[in-house]
Amino acid sequence: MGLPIEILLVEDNEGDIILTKKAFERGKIMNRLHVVKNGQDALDFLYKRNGHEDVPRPDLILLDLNMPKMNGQDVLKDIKSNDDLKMIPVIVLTTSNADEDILKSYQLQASSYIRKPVDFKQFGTVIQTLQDYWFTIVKFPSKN
Amino acid sequence: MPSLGKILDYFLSEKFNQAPENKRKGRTVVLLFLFIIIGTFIMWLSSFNIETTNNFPFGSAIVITLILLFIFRKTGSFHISGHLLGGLIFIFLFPVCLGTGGLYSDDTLWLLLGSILSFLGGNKWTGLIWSFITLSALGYLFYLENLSEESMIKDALIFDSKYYYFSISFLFFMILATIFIYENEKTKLIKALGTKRNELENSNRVLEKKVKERTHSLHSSNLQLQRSNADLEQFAYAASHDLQEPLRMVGNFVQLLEEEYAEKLDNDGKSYINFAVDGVTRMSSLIEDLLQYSRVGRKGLEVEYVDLNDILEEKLKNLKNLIDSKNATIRVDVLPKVRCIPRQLGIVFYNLIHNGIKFNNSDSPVVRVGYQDKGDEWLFEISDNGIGISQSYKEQIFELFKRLHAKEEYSGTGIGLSLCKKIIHHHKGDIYFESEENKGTTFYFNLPKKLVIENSTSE
Repeated sequence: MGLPIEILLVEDNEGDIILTKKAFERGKIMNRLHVVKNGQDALDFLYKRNGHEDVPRPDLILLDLNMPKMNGQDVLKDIKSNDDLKMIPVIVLTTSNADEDILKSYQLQASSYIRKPVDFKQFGTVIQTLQDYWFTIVKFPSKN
Repeated sequence: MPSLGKILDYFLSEKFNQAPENKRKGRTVVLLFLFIIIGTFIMWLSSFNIETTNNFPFGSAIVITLILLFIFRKTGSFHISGHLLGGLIFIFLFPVCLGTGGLYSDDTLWLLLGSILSFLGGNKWTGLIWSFITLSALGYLFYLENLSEESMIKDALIFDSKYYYFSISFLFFMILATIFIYENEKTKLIKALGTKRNELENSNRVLEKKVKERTHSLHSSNLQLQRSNADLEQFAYAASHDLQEPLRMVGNFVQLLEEEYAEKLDNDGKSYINFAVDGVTRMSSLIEDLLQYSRVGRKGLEVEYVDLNDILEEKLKNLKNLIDSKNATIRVDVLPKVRCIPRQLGIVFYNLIHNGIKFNNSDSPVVRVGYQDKGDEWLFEISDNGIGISQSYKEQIFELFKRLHAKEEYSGTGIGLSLCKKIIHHHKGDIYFESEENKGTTFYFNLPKKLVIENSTSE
C-alpha cells in the first residue's frame, strides 16, 4: 500500500473537521484528507474546476448533510447522477437517525451512514472500523 | 247605553282572557243574566206599550245603540262576534217592534233593519237564520192581522206571540252566546298555541344557530390544533437536531482535552471531564429520544407488510449486551406478519423488552413476547418477571419524562414508554399493562390487521 488514500471531507463545521482529522490521524492507514466547506466547492473539487484543477480524484467522500448554500443532499444527487463519479463511495455524516430517514425518503442511496458522535472515543472506533472495512476487506471499485 | 259597550268591551278584552278560568266563567254567567234581565225589562216595557198605543222612543234608542255597537265592531273599537251581535239585535229589537204597535208600526222597519244588520254583522248563516225568524215573525203578524178584527183576541195573540218569539230568540241567543264563548276560548287557545309554536320555532332557530357556531369554532380549533401540532413537530425536530451540534462539540473536545493533555491533568481534573462527558452523553440521548418522539407522526414512513420475526431478531441483536450482562432470557413466540411502520414497531418491541430486563432484580430475568389473534386485530403481550408497576401509575407511566425511579437506580430518559404509546396510537392501537409488584409486568398493545395510516402531518 504505497499510495495514500485520498479522502474528501465535505464539512462546514470547523470542530467536526478537526475531529475527523484527528480520528484519521490515529488510523493505521496512510491517508490524505482534503477538506471543502460547502457543496459547491465539493462539486468543483470532484469536477476539477475553479481552482481545483490539480486535485486527485478521491477514493472516498465523507459528506455532511447540513451545509449552507448547496447542502449534502444536492451534492449526493449530483454525484449519483454522474456515471463516473457515482463509483466513488459516499459516506454520509449524519447528526441523527432522522437525517437518514430523510435521505432515504428522497431515494438517494449513500454507501453508508456515520452518526457524528458525542463521544470522541466512539467516533475514533467508528472511523477505525470504516477504514478497515473500506480499505482492507472490501476492494472498493476504484476506476472501473 | 255606553255601559253595555263597556261591559262587552271588557268581555272581549285581554283583561278578561287573562283572568282565572273560574272568574271568567262567573263573569260570563253574569253577562248572560244581564242580557236576560235587560231583555225581560224591555219586553215588560213593550207590553206596556200595547195599552199605550203611542210610539215609544225605546225601540229607536236601542236600535241606534245596536247600530253603534255594529259600527264599533267594524271600526275595530272592540271585537264582538257576529253571532252575538245578530243575537243582540234580534233580542232587543223584536219585542220592541211587537210592543210598539205590531205590523203597522214604523218600527217594523227597524225589524227589517235588524235582519240586514245581523246579515252584515254576523256571518251569512247567522244572517239567514235571523232573516228567516224575522220573516216568519212578519208572516205570523200578517196572519194575525187578517185573522180577526176583534182587538181583544188580537191583543192576546200578539201578547202570546211576543212570548213565543221571545223564547225562540232567547234560546237562539243562548246558543249564540255559547258559540261566542267557545269561539273566544278557541281563538285564545289557537293564539296560545301559535305563541308556543313561535317560541318553539324561535328556540329551534337559536339552537340551530348555536350548533352551527359551535361546529364552526370546533372546526377552526381543530385546524388550529393540526397546525400547531405540525408546528410543534417541526420545532421539536429542528430544536433537537440543532441542539445536537453544540453538544457534540462539547463532548468531543472535552474528551480530546483529556486524551491529549492527560499528563497535565490530575485525578480531579480527569473526574471533572468524566462528569462533563457523562452529562453530555445523557443530554444527547435525551435529545435523540425527543427527536424520535417528535417524528412519530411525520410523513415519509410507509406502512409495510413485514415479518415481525425479522424485526425482533434485529432488535435482540441490539439488546445483546444488556441481555448478557443481566443474564437474561428472552422467549419469543413465532410472530405473524403484520402491517406496520417497521422501524417504529421495532422501537416499541425494543423499549418494552429493554424495560423488562432493566427493571428486573431477578437473578435470571425472563422476558416473553407473545401474541393473540383477535380477528380484526393482533394483541401483542410482552411480559417479564421484573419489579412490577403499581396500578396507581397506570396513566402516569406513559407521560413524557415521567420516571418512577431515581436515575442512579435505573437509568433512562423517561421517554421510552411515551414513545411506545405515541407509536401505538399512530398505528391506531392502544397500549396498557397489567402488573403485580415484585412479580412482574405484562404490557399489551393491539394492532389493527388492516392498518392504513394517512400521511396527514406536513413535513
